[in-house]
Amino acid sequence: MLLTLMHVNSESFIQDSTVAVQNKTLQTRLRVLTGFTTKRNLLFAELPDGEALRDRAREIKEETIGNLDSYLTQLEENVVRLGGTVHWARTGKEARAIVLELARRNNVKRVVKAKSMVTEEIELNEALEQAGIEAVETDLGEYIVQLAHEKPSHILAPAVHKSKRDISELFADKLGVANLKEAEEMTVVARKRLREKFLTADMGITGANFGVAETGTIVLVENEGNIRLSTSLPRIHVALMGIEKLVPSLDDLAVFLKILARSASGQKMSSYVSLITGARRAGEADGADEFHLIILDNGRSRILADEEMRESLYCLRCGACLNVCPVYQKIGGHAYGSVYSGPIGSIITPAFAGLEKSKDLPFASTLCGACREICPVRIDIPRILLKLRSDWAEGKHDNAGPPLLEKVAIKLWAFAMRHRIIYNLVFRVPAFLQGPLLEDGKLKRLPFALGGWTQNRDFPALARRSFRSMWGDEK
Amino acid sequence: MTAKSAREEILEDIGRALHREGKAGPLRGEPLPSASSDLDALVSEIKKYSEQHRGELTKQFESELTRVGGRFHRATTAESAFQYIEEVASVRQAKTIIAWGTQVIDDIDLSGKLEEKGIKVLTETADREFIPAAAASDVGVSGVDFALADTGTLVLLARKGQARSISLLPPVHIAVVKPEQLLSGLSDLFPLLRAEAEAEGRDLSSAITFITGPSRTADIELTLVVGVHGPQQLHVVLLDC
Repeated sequence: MLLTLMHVNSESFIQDSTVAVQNKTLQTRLRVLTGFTTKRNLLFAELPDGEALRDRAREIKEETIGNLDSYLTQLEENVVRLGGTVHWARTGKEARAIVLELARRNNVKRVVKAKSMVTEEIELNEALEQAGIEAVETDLGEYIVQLAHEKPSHILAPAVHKSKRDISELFADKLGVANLKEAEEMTVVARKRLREKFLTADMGITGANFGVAETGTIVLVENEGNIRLSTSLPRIHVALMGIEKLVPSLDDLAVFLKILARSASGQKMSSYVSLITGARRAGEADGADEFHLIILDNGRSRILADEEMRESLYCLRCGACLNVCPVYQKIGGHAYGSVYSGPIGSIITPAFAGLEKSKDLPFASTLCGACREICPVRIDIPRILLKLRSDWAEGKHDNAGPPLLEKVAIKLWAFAMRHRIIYNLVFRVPAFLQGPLLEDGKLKRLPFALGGWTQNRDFPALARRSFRSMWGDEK
Repeated sequence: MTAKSAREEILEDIGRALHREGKAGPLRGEPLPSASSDLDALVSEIKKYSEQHRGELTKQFESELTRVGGRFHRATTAESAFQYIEEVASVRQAKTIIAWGTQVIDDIDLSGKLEEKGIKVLTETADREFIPAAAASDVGVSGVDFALADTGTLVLLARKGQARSISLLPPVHIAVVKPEQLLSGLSDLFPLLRAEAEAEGRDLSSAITFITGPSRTADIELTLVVGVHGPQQLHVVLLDC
């Protein structure tokens, strides 16, 4: 019995991606993401030790994940010692309940939220809204998708699928401000509206880019300043952190801070990095009065237990793999039907939502390896995609696997490939018989179930003589 | 038998996933660069390096700061620093400035001189009026704790007299940096932060903020817009006297 921990719409991936791949407008929007990759490459080339830093980052993650329980208890000890409170949540449901209880106990009416994948994963906003609490997304991109009642479509740039015109119309409709043409004008409006929210919110909710075990510090990386505001003004700060987000020490943190912004957005350093260690201290004029850290599992320990999947926990959520993926560039984030899209999404969504619901995601790849090349912590995404395909084909993890006919066909094919005489027959006979199927010397339409392969490409005709037999003649 | 707590279950699941019999394994044995025993030696090395390369570091810092859209002014006298700040304030038609309550601000005699020009200078107060006052101010003036040359980054520790809102709420932020606060980069910063904390017998500050340029976003069609929620303008005055 597999517990589905994250809600997805990935079952309709084939339909959704088929529609998306024909959406030229969407692709024009997504093309701008290549700018991130260009800048990222320049910055890494500039670093004297860029590759060594990536190796070091990988090592640190291996060490941390390999001793995760020890580091988590160390982090907890330090947060508690500083007067913060640590909560543990096995599932998204438990995490939501913790947040709601904190809100109820503290009479919270308004929450300002920073961009956080983990809070999307557990659908926290919906739970807050249902409890009558106003939860305002404060990152500009998230604010935009929230107004549009949509989900974010990219880790870093949640509204990348929307044009200026879309956003202008949205602001006219939802904010009552019409005729905004330029990005600057729209940003000014958003700044004003959200400043009001920051100044009156009771609680600020963030994720955590890193947790530093040795000091009990939560690290938050941003460009806009909404995180600084969310953690400095409201009286309660709640940070949600997946168990895998730890680093052991500040020195380790330095390695990650050197490569995160470069990988994510082609910047040497993002505009703001906040190292939050507990609540405000006595005598300080701002900062939260209470600090709460919610440590979330929600399927991560399950990924941890699978040694072949384990390295997907090293992910920094930088989004670089999305930017280089030829599939993502064509279909965008929404088609994946999951909070986590792109290459990393294709490997962790099955772990969180079950392979049955998301079986098409590991197959939506050409295995080109661009993601592996660009990943700052060198996660071998293609290897894991292949493993998931194999899991699916073998009916692992309670998923149904391929239909019986396909299973039989594959077995027959495997048998044929292992036996020379049958192998020859399989190619020689059709080469003899293919005449009627040829158009312009090509196989443009294969018959029956094989037709899927010629839907978008032509096969060359099978040669009349095999290479081996020609070679035999030469000899 | 009582149900296991979430904490127990999660730690057990992790332990099992890592094939551990019994208790959690030991933490990494290899001594870290800033482990206590070597910390003092490391700190003096860092300070010596920064002092010897001050000229280079200053140039590099200015270049990086400018690259991310910050403005740099080198003041060889307190008077020059004051004049720069006054000019920025007057261009913005500022009526109120809010400033850190620290020595470096006193050194420039900000309050005295600006009040003469009709600009109110506020500092941090411990009451509920503080944040609205900071939000209504036109310019925030702060010092810094450190500045990192390789990325043009300012490092500000939250403390009494160094409120976070001052470098965050007003649309313009002016940071006064002293040359001895310049370091080459992050790897030099963290050992110093730890050493300071240990020396003062406290933990890390409640909020250490790295500021690299003004606030920005590219969320709308990836068009860069400078000045979203944080300050739109960042000025750094190097008080080199």
